[in-house]
Amino acid sequence: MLDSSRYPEKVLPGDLISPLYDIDNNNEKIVYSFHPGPGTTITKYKINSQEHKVLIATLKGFVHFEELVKTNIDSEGKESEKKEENDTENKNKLADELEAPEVNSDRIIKKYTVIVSKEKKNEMMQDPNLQEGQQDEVNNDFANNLPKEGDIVLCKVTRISAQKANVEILVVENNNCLKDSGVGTNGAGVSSVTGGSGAVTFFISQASSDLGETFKGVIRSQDVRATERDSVKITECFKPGDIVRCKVLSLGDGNNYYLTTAKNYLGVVFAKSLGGAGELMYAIDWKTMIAPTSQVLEQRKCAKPF
Amino acid sequence: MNTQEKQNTITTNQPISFPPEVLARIAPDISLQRHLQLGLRPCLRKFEEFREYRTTDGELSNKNNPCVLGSNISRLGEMFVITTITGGIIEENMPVTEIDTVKDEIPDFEENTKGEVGFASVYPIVQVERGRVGAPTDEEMIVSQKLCESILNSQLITNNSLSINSIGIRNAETQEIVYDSQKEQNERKLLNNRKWSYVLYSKQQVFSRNSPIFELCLNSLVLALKTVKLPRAYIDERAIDLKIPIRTRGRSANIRESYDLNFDINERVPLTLNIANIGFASNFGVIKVENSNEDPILLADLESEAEESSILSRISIISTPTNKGSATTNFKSIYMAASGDNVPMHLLKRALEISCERTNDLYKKLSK
Amino acid sequence: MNVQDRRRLLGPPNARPVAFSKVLEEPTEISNVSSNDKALPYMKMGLLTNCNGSSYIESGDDNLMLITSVYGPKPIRGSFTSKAVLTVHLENSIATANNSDGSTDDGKNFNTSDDYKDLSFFLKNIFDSVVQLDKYPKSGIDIFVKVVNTDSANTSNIPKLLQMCCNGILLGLVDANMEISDLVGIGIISHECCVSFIKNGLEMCGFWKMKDEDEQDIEEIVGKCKENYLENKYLISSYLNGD
Repeated sequence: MLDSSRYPEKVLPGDLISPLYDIDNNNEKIVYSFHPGPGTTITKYKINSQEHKVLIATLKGFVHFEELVKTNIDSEGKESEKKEENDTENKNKLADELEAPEVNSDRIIKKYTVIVSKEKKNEMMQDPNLQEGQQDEVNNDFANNLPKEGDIVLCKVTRISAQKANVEILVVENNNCLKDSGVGTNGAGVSSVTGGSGAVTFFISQASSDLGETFKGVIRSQDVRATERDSVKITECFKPGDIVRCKVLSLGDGNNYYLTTAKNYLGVVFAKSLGGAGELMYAIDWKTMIAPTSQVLEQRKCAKPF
Repeated sequence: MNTQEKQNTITTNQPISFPPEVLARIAPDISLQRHLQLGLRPCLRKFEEFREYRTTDGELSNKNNPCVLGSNISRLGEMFVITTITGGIIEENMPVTEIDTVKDEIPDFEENTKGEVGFASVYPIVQVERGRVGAPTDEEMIVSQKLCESILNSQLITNNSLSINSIGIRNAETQEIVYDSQKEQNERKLLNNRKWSYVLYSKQQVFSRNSPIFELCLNSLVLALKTVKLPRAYIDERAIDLKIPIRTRGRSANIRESYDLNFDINERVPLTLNIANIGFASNFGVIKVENSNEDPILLADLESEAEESSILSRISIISTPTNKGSATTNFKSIYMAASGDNVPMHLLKRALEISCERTNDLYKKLSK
Repeated sequence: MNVQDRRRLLGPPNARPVAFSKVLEEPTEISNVSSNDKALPYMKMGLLTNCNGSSYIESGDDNLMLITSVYGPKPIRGSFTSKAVLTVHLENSIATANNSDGSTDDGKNFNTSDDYKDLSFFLKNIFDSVVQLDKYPKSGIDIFVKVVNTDSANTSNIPKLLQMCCNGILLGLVDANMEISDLVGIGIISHECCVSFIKNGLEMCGFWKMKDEDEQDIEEIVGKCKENYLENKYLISSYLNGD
């Protein structure tokens, strides 16, 4: 096991955490290879007029080491992809006491991702990945919760057309909400029909837009469900105002993220009947929702609620 | 825990659950209703509980910022506002247009103006810090206008208290400024009976906005006005006889005296306010709890995203503290908008009662 | 001619601001090298709740109060960018005498907005070099610094202001959990000059000098600034560690 007490426990941005490679104290054959995770980055550091590549912290918090894959050098062929990464890094590396690992075929490489997070917990959060199950815990750690590929996001449908549904991304699931995206920053949301003067203010990084900036996304009709993708009718799947759980397919273009709901656990989670005028509806199967008192049935592409 | 309960009402057995803050963002109305059904508000206050009000007076008006005539920092929970008051002067015969228009709206106003000179207001600019630049938002404009009208209508500042009654004269050699009532008479003649008065401006910056801002801004503005000290005006002895031709467009040059009034940084007179008319504001929301046949409930001092975006029936009340002698309270303004649920009479009464209590409480605390 | 601003209540158009004659603005402090070790600045993180990160700094010796707020990462319009766009906005929030946004300001008792744009740009450049912009694709990060109070009505001490702004922004970024590669800091030696450093003074990332007349040894300046920077960095890191 990695003896993490050799490395700093608590760091500030710019603090040195570890070199890219290190040898175990007790067993010379074990080589640790560290990869930058959230909150860390690689930088060059001059020690005794020689440049070394090291990992430094970019956040204030506690250092965690997460083991990635156990790699034995002999089984090189299996790990082609990861190996390649490793090789390119090795070329740059100037660590003197370490030759390139491929040469020392008897050495064992252990890969670790180094993460800096606010929590002192040993148990780091897992990536909110595509598992159907959900963690109860909210990851309050990173403001860096920009939607990434594979993330599950909760969106509100803003516009629908035959080919696609436009949504705005409200939160990345299991991440905290950005504090600056709420009413306090974006205003109460009630402004005059023409957009009011709110339309004239903008936050600077953005040339001009309407008030209430959220990341925008698109669910194309072929991404709504996994089967019979060609016969999807958007109007039978979403209505404006619905809250939809989606997965990020790609960062998309300048304007929109591309999202998909082609999984059982993805789809509409909250919807109101009669175009938002009615009451909250519950899913009774994957494509129908019901309003409990009025018994109105409406079609949606529902997320599995369990 | 909370979320689990919330979700259980939607579906049975191991449902998808959202953390409270996420639910508040994606479905504020649901989040609010779930809280209310438990007898709580999303901010965990009781229904009729206010946030704590803390305030600091006059710290920003000092020697180094001589233009800041009065200031106040007020904090309500996490939200705070920094109010600074600056001034200007204007020749009095010029009508102040904004105030004229309000005169028409208030029938009382004319009566009051007969005996006295009438009442003045402040020209406020409200800025909500929200990481944006550009023109003011609707909210900022509306609140500014409301503040201006509220101060005027509460008859807090008389025009008399803003007019410049005596102008000092600075001796050319000694640089001493003399404010003398005898000389003042002479000087009046010299100045052709022209009169000046002060105009007050305020700038209010709201930080950490998490609830409606009008009430906090008004309270802070009133407190800032209490700290205002107007600098006395003087004129250079030599400048009295100065005549400067002023050219107006399309006409030949007129010869007119122009008096360059200066302000004395060391001599300041506190602004006199109609203390009896000092009022504090509080707001309320009315909402019906789902799945219950009871009347709607009254929430005091709205806060948080869930409450603000789903409670549309609101009451805002400005009341003056109860005098010891008389049991009657003076309401300066009552604003009610029932755009959400209907507001029953008993809740309006209750709101009026609570607002008086709140005002008295604030007044006691702040006059210490 | 000015177009009348109808969005704000500006009061009667013919009013003159209450301004004080220039005589009173005699320099209260003699511009010698003031070491700021007399009074420690007061620092606080997380003052504001509606932005992602914020800080409040009150410098001990000249009553300078700054509120910094960090917004973002927020979506950006237009073409795809793989890096975040960072902006810094430094503004004086002390009420100006005639209350509009400074453009029609007759009583020039306050800093003109021009100076502030310069300073904002200087600060932006510094933070461009430390914020890990490539971790925030398609987004923008906005930093607002508000000068709430200051003793020196005119910009007599820009380097000091810059140093405090830099500290404020740094704390704001740490509070927002933005990834930054180092605790960048500014060292000052006089009222005219300051240098910003990273990596314990091994690298420089900004240089500000206002007067060019007196020929000074640049190396000497940098050396002195570095001392000051290290002192300042010690303050910041001890605050962050003690938090």
